[in-house]
Amino acid sequence: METSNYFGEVVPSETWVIKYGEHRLVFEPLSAHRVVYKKFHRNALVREFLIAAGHDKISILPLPPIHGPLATDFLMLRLEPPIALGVEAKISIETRMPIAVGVFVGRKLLDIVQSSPVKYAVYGSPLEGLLCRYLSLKLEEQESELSGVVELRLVNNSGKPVKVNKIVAPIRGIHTYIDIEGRVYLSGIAMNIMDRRSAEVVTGLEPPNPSARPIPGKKPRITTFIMKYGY
Amino acid sequence: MSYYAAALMNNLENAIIDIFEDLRNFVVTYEELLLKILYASVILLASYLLAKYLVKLTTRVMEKTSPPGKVKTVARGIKFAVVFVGAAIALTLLGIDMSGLLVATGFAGLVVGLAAQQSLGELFAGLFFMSEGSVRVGDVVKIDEDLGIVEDMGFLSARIRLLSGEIVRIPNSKLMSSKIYNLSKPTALRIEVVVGISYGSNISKAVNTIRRVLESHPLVLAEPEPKILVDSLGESSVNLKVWAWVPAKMIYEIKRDIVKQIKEALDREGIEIPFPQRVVWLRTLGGREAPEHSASRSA
Repeated sequence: METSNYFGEVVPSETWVIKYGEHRLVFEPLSAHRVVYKKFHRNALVREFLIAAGHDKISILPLPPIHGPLATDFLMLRLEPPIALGVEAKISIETRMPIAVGVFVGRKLLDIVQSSPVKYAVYGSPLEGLLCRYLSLKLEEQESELSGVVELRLVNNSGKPVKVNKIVAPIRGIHTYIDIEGRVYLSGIAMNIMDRRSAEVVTGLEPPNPSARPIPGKKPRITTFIMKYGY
Repeated sequence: MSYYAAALMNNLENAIIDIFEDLRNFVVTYEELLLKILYASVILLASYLLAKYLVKLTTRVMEKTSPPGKVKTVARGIKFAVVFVGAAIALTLLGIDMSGLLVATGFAGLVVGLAAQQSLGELFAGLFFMSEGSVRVGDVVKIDEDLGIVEDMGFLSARIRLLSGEIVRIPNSKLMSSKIYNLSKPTALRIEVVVGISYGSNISKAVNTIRRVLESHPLVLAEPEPKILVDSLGESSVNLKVWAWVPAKMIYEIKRDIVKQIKEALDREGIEIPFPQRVVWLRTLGGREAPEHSASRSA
């Protein structure tokens, strides 16, 4: 069986090949209880596991783009292009954010497929700033293979016109959601610009499609962060 | 049988009465001393329990803001002080003259101080170092030529696990007098790599090649942005300076990685990294000059 951008349970009674952009995941059944998992990137084998799932299920689920070699608590979204907001202007934008793909055995995350290059950035000064996972967010990007719909809500309460180049959001409030047609969504992000340098960012908001179910199972907590080193 | 049993019981009763009588006499005779011992024991127990409570309280209050080494030191100090005061009160109650003990302690302190001058120096250096808080357990530090992770900070020395896995014990007095680079304090640090390319190479192509290496490396930070500067015109090469910000804790691994990747990328693009060469002329006896080796300025 060959498919692409599949999310759900993998039952490899035969060999499954699932494509995600330049990555290819192959599940080869050895026997009733053993599966060989291989990950290829541009035809080069990059990871291989022997899976004996037992009573657990093998599943593939969309994940927010927060995993990488470093553990961080924040996600920096560099807006392309930047957004200019007049006094008391409000804007709500639905755009697409790259997502990651997680291969699970039961609840154990076995492997991750990254749809965009993993990068990090410092918010604030290098001396005492915050290390963030970095993503470039193209506001007018067309639907790409490995992305989820995210809603950004910005409001300018600073009393002056402002230009927003980036949003730093707490990772804890960012979850993925999936609807019955397999479309992926991410938690909404709200930004309240308070003055020239600071803004309040809230994550964990409902996605644009309220019927989409959160992964894994429970909704994220509403989490707030104050950006005080500019935006 | 009943006669013997009655006699035995009578003897037993007399023996018990005698024991109680002796005990009563003992208590009456030594009542004062026994009371003192009881009070002293209660004071010792109370001081021990108080010390234990204060250690718990101090640990709870300090552990959120202070490094574990400092918390342990303060807790130990409090425990020692409270138990010492309790013991002194208990001894005074027992009628032991503390002034003599204090004089003896002072004298012993002087002797110990002279004998353990070095160790006491280490101890005070350690206490000062811990209270200063510039280095904590788990920090990546460079002390002189030793680069590693602080494993433990004790009263006399600090234990550093080098990147090679070896453990180095550095006396606290040496820590006080050394230049210490704490690489864990800042969020990010800037690495600098100087790359020399031959005069015949295309500078823009080299800059773009290096930029691609930096952009594709996950641990080279996107912000602050890396910079590639054409720095100087050297004897044999055009020198490019590469500045890249990386997470502080991983600076050495990333630098090694980047240098390797830049070299490989420049090789792939056919950009030459020259090595210095000299043209040496030898004067012969006949007055003619002839080059021993001739070569261009760069390889």
